[in-house]
Amino acid sequence: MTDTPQDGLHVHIERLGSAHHALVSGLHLHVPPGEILTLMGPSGCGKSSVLAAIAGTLASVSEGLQPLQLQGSVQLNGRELAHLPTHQRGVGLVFQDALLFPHMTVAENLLFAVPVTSGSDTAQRQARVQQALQEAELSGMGNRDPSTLSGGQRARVALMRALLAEPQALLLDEPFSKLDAALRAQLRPWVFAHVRERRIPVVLVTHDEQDVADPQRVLHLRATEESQAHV
Amino acid sequence: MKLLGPLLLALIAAVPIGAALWAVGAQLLDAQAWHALWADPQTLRAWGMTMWTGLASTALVWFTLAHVLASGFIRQQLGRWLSRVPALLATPHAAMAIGLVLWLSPSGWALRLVSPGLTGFDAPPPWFTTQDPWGLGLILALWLKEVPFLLWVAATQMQREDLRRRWQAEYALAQTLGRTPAQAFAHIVWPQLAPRLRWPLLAVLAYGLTVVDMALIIGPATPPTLAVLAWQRLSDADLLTQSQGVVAAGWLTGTLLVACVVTGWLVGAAPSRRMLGHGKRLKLAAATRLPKAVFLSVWPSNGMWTTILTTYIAVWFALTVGSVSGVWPFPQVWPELWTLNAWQQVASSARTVWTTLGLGVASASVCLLWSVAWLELAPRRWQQAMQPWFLLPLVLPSVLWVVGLYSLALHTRLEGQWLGLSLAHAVMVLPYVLLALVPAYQAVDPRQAALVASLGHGRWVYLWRVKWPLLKRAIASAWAVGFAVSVAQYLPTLYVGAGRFATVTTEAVTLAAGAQRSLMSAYAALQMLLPIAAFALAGWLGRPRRFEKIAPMKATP
Amino acid sequence: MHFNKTTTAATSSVGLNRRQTLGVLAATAMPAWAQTPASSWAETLRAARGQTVYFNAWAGSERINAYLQWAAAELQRDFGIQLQHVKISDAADVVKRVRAEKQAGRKDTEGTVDLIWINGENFAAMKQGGLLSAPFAANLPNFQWVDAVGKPTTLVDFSVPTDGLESPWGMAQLTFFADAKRLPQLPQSMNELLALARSQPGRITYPRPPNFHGTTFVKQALIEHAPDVKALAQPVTAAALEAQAAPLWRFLDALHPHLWRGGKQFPQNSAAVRQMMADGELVMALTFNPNEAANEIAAKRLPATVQSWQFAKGTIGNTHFVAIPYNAPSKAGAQVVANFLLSPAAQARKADIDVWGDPTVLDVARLPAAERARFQSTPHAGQVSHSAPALPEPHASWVDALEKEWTRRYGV
Repeated sequence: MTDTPQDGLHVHIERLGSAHHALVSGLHLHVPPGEILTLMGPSGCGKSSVLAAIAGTLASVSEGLQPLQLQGSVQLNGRELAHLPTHQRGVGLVFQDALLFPHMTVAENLLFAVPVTSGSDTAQRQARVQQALQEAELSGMGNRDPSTLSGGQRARVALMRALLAEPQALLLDEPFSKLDAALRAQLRPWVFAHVRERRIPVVLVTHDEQDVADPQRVLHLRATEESQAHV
Repeated sequence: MKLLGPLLLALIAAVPIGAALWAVGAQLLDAQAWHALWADPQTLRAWGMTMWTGLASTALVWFTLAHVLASGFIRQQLGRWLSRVPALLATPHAAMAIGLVLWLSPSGWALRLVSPGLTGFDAPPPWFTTQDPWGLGLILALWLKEVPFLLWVAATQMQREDLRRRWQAEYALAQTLGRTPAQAFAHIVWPQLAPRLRWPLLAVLAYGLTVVDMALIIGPATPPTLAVLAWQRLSDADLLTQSQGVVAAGWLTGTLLVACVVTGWLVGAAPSRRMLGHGKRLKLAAATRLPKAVFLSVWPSNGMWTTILTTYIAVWFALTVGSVSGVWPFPQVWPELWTLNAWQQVASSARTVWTTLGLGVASASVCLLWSVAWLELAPRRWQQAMQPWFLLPLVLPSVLWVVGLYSLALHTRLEGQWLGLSLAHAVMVLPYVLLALVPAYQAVDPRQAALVASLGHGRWVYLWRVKWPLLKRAIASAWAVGFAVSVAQYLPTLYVGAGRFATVTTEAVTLAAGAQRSLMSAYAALQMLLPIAAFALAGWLGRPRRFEKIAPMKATP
Repeated sequence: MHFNKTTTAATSSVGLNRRQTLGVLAATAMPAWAQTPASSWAETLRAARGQTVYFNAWAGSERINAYLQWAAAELQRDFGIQLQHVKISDAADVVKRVRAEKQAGRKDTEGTVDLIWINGENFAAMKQGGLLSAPFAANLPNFQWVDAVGKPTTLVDFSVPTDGLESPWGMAQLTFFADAKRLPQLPQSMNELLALARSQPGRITYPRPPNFHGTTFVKQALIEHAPDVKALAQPVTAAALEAQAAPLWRFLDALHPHLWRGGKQFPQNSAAVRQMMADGELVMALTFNPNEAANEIAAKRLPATVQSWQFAKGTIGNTHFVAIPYNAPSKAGAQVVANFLLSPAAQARKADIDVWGDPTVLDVARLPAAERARFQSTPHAGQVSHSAPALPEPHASWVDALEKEWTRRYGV
């Protein structure tokens, strides 16, 4: 299938910040489908806030601090997302903590993400869950308590859960920073392979140079400076 | 528009509280009553006695709490200990006082066991063991009753996974830096835990300063505490005496507020992100810098906790025996005549259990619904701002509240009606439910909501399938506490119910107006029955999910 | 509005006696038509059928509660009235409630209390505050049997005339009880009590005023020591208090050092005193119900060797009543209930020690033979063997003055 110029993720941030302080201004980025943009920068420069702006979760993650406002637009495959609530945007999120629901088994965590459409029935959705477990090399562990899984296993379940929801874009907020180097080296290619396969635009936030997915799509955010995407 | 919901919620709760306060306030502006109060020689001494018993018992409770928490934390047994607390909480105040009197009075069990053998007493000695003029009996009773309450609140804080893990990690870290376990707790964990217990401590202080039923049974009588004096005056039919009672209660409240402010300042606020973010060095509040002796075990480590538990068991045992005792002359260890009379009485009051149940369920449920709605919908700033207002019924003497609530009920023609009575109970129950829920709500990771939304589920799915199931334990225990508080209400039921509604507690108190020891003991058991059932139900409903056990897996990444 | 006790019931003593005499004459000489004609009572009965009467009564004793349950059954069967016993621990609470309702503007039938068990200061407060309904007691058919002559307190409550605003129900008299094993010689006056206290220090006490038992103990001592007892029937003045009470304070000053805890602490109520007596800490206790000790013995809470007695020259006695508030919704029903409580059947059952043991207000000698027979009773252990005369209460205004002075001298 051919990609039209509107496909993918277009983000224009005129100003992102609280009433007194602008965190990010003049940021424009475009991620075509199947590509991974890596967003980098020192702590506090607003990387996670950019993700929050894209996902529409600015209100809930700026808890306790000043609420952030976005002036700009976020377009995904031709749809304007800026006025939509998060659950209607079709944007997936993976955080550094897997945040698996502790009161559900691994399989139930995954099943939670599978969309309920009029066509599918329970058996079909269960089958998708099993398939996801297989892809994550965790088959047979569906009935496990999530807290008994290792860090790497949890990270894989978190990613599969996000992908099962069939998002149109995916945001990864420092997904590897809690894992050790060996695990990272194993998990990175696996994650990138899976998301590329889905052919959705992906934005990855990290502060580790080695996490860069595509050296040609890297954006460095500098604190309080305007920046223009190289892409 | 989004704020309309929280605004309505705030008004629903704040208006009755405000109206009740207004009704009371009007009666406080009576110059003649103030004059008469001042002229009364008892007033100053009663006030002094109140301050002494209230402050001493609260300080004692605070030190004990630090000690027990330290012991439990260090020995990793805190969870187990804290699970026993609800049963202790369900003991009615008056029952605790009676049980203590049964043991400690000159004709009490403690002396019966050693007389005439060790002491040579043939008749009870003229010792000042209960109703002593120094208020020690009252302090003891208050201490015993309030430590479990604070422990229970501490338990709700410790249930927060994030805090507990962080504190355990920091505690371990401190030990690697060379601190002893006790020092690590005292310097690292306690300063963070203590400020979170500020509001419950104020509630304990408020109760200690305004308690009436315990003071009547075991407190000094000449003069009594100011709370008892105010209550006695308020109970008089003469108008002038009544207004003296109102202003006495008003003065007590004023003192109470000052004491609360000072205590709150001593305990300090919880370290907030803002404070830490600005890099100021955290000054530890005075009450968190407790003397080393509190943490260093003079006793064996779990001595204090064991003592408290044992005392409760002893009190229950005394009440049980007391409820079937007939003639029981000193110095016999067991009653001479046994009688089931008291229990027959209790059985005939069984109908009141239904009324109590209905009221408890209604008020606890209403408060739970309101609290959950408030905590879900209201912005964080509103919650913090309004919290003191909603917690007011906890801190002000119930004697004053009833005056206000009753005036309100009269004006809205709700007195003597089920609706009015449930609402009055709800006002009294609300602070407890809120106190139980707030820590759990604060512990919720905000990213979870974002995650669920990113999976394409709306807010309701998030609440029903993720958030509330995870908060199930806190919600169930908040409901149980609200229920227990409703069961224990006496004055509101009597006044706002216009005497039409008989609950277990009104039966217990009115029948105890004849002060039969056996009757009061038997009714105490009835009073405990419902709250214990509620706590058991809450514990069962809030139990965590049991996953199937699996054999340990090989280590795979 | 403050309640000025010194100007209550401003009728002269002469007028009082005359009215009292007239009432007595009416009751004894002309029983048949002294009351309103039978037809209006029939109307009352008709109006009462189907009503619910909320009777606010002290519930501190299971015997009283059981008696009221019996009464409820009888009333339902015979008059179609549903009697609800509203259990209260203090009549002052009800007074406050009715007063609050009046202040809130509740009209004549918008109250929550139909009938209240009351006497003494509480009655005086309600009467002064205009909280009672129109006079009704004299209109009750059974009122003719009340012993107004032998029991003058049925018409005058703490020296405040009832004016028919309350209907008598039972008698109370200050009575002492003690275990005869520990107290072979029963004191017959306050002075003998003092001698007893000296010989057994720390074993006697009385509840702290303003508890009404404690106040009555003090009043008893006052009556026994006052130079002019008749002055006590008048409203109190500073001069009268000074003159009459001086010997009282001297007596108490002599008594207190020999009391329990040296007179520095006093128990809160008579029940606490009774409990301490049962436990052996005290040697005697006091009560208003002459049959209370017998009740306790029957309930196995006191040993059978306990005896009750009253001082030989008499102890303070009074009557307790039932009254109807101004805003009672079921006034007709309340009147029928009050009448039933005055009936010989109900009074006899009430006086029966096995049921309650509260003495009757009726003049048993004047009753028809069949009714009189109901009042026969066998002696029970612990009963008062020789009834002593009931001394009249001082005027209601003395209570407050005595309590204040007592508190000033001994309360701190």
